Amino acid sequence: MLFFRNTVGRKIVIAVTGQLMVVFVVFHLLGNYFNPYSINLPDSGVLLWMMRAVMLISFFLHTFFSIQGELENRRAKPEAYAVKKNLRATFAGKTMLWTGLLIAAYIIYHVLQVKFLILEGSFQEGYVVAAVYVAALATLFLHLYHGIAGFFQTMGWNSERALPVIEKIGKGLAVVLLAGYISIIIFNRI
Amino acid sequence: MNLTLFIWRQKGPDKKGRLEQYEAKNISAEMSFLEMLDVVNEGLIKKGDEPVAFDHDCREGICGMCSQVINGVPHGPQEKTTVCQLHMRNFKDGDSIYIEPLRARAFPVIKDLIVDRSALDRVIQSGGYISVHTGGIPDANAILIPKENAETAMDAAECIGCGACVAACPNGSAMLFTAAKVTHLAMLPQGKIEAARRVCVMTDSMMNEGFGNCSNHYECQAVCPKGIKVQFIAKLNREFIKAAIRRRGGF
Repeated sequence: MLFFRNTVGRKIVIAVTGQLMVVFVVFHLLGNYFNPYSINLPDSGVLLWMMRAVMLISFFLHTFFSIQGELENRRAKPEAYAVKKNLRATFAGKTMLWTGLLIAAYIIYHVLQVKFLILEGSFQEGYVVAAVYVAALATLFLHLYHGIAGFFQTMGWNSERALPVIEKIGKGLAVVLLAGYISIIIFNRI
Repeated sequence: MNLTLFIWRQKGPDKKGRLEQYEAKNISAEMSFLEMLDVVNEGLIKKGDEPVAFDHDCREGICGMCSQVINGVPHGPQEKTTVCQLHMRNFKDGDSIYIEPLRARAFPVIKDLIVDRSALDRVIQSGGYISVHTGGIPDANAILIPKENAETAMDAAECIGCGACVAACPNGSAMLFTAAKVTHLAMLPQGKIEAARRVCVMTDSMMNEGFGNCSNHYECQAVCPKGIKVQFIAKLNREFIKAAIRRRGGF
């Protein structure tokens, strides 16, 4: 498959699966705001399982190709400069692998806690859990700060005039999501 | 002005290199960076030491040979300027300057500041050409091309293949270089015939040469002496999607 073999193809797979997960993050926030107890949401059914399948496949493709690419990138740059000045690269962009792995760990923790009820505690009760949630949100914010704007470039939807707008939209959405989720934690704790 | 230089010295491809300190005395602000190195080398030769090996050719900013990383930035502190066109007025008396070769696995050091950039040539050889016979100059002009497309092709064709994009990229990717070549040919009717095959073959060749993947840091655009824009990478991505949908060229 061209999309799985070629560097540009893999980048597009990472971008599309990433954005599918961003769509989930948006709806998850809306759900938390307007329907926190999941009233009238089905617990089974074709649509739900299709959604879960898409998320699961996205999660694995996104993680697999990102790690594979990162390993190739490290091999491509074996020797570091004594002095290196980055002019454009951001902290968020350079830490994508680490923020991604932390988010993956958090997702597993969150699903075990909320869905399977294996892990105890909730952010409404414990300060430690709330702190973990906030840390995870900050990590997600960093990841999306680079990831959303990059999606447009990767899909080729970019021009000289569009770039500053795209970067603002991407970073803006990352800020809105961070603020939205943190506000839920704050409202529930007060 | 007097400067302290820290220059990467490496005897050969398989030898271990290190930064060595040199003093550059009585340097005029009007000198180019390479002329300053010439002065330092004359001093070294007089002392009986081995001069610093560095690449240079046209010294007028169009050949792409004089690639060095100066204080952590390929081609140094002045925007859209090659090392040979960088003048010492960009530095102050007493400054310390770190001079290193372009670093990437695909650019092995030959000696001191000279690296082997033939990997870029091999990327071009893989697909950066057209196979149709275009005839003489009047024949080429017989095909009308929209002014905008011609301008975009020319902007992309400005790439001099110096390798600064690779050196600046945290991933050691040559995507800006490859994108410039892909765009330059894909904008013109003669290049469109093989466009689908070209984008696949050239990006594969780039990876096979040991360059990294692009992850949208945009460091490449910031250091490009010719101002090649990352929008050309977006164009390459569009060309790739088109190729994947059409499945041309045996893919």
